[in-house]
Amino acid sequence: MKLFFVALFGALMLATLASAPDARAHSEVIASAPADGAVLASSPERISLRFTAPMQITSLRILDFAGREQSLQRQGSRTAFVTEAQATLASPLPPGAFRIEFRGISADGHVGGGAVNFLIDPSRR
Amino acid sequence: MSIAELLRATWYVAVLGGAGLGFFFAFFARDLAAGDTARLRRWRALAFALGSAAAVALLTSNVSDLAGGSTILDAELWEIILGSPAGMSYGLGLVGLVIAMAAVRGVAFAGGFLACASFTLLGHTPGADVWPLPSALLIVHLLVGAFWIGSLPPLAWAARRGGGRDIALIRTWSRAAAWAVPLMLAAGIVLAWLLAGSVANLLGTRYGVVLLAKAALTSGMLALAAWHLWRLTPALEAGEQGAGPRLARSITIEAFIALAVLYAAALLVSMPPRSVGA
Repeated sequence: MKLFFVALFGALMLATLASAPDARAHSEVIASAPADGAVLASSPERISLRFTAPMQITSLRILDFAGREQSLQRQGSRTAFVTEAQATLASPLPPGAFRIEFRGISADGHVGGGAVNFLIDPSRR
Repeated sequence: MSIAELLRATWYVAVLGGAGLGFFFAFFARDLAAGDTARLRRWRALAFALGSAAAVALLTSNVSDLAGGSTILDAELWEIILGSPAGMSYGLGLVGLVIAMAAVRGVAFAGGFLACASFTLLGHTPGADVWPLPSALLIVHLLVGAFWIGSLPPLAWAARRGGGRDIALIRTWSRAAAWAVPLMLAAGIVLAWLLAGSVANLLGTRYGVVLLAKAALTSGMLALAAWHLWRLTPALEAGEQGAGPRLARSITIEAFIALAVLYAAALLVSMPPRSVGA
């Protein structure tokens, strides 16, 4: 009986490792436009986030200092794996502090997100 | 302590506990006292029910997270999460728990194995260096860990009864654990080394601190197991008054420490094992 379980263990282990998917990477933000902490003289026309590895971006939004969501037109679908997420602003942003928030899944299955903060200050012209 | 961490720990308890109960049935079905077979079946069903509830709660939490907290009723997000490594891991774990409830010993073992293998779809092992070695080590570590944890309830039942057949079962289990547990420890140590990469990472990251806490708790379980083997089981064999209930109580304490070990494991999966840039 012991031999049966050892053989069964061996067969199951081989089958599991043989069918396991390729190694998958965890994604993190490596660059953004505007950059994190940037001070801009005027509203950007578009925003973008670049990642270390492909991920599905399921939520991408811009919030002002009061937490109000600004209108964005997202490029691409939520289901596609991308290394860059882009969106166009529906209308120029007024002066003030803003926060780009994103949520998504990396290829390794990790659910997470992050934020990029920037400021629009016309006096910096 | 966050809700997500508690839910993940509950998932670990259900899957590893259910798998372990399946392993105990697979290895010791012929040695079970009358009534324990049915009792084991009920406990395995309970593990599946608990696992199902935890999986649904975790997936719902993931969907809410993906939506930025705005909704849990987005069909596309449910499709994304169910097709993700998380969804597949929970699905495989639940399938494993169902199979682990089988009345055929080899099938129950296979179900427990599948349930343990489901953990290799998520977490740090799929993306680790020298893949698939970390996945293989994780499976060995979890198989023995599940066998240990899942055996505690039926061992406590046997200890409380304290009959000749029960003592023989406890002794047989101890002989199997004597070679299996060192294998679990060795797999865990090598896996920790592969994931952390250096002693500096073990001591200098939150991952390392929690890992050391998990190791300390496991040492507590080992100390109790040694006391059971060298003091309490001989007392039971000698027919000492109250030896059975004493051993059963101590096994129950060991089970509560096991819950803390599983909570530490649930924390580890959400932490990076290496410092940024390491």
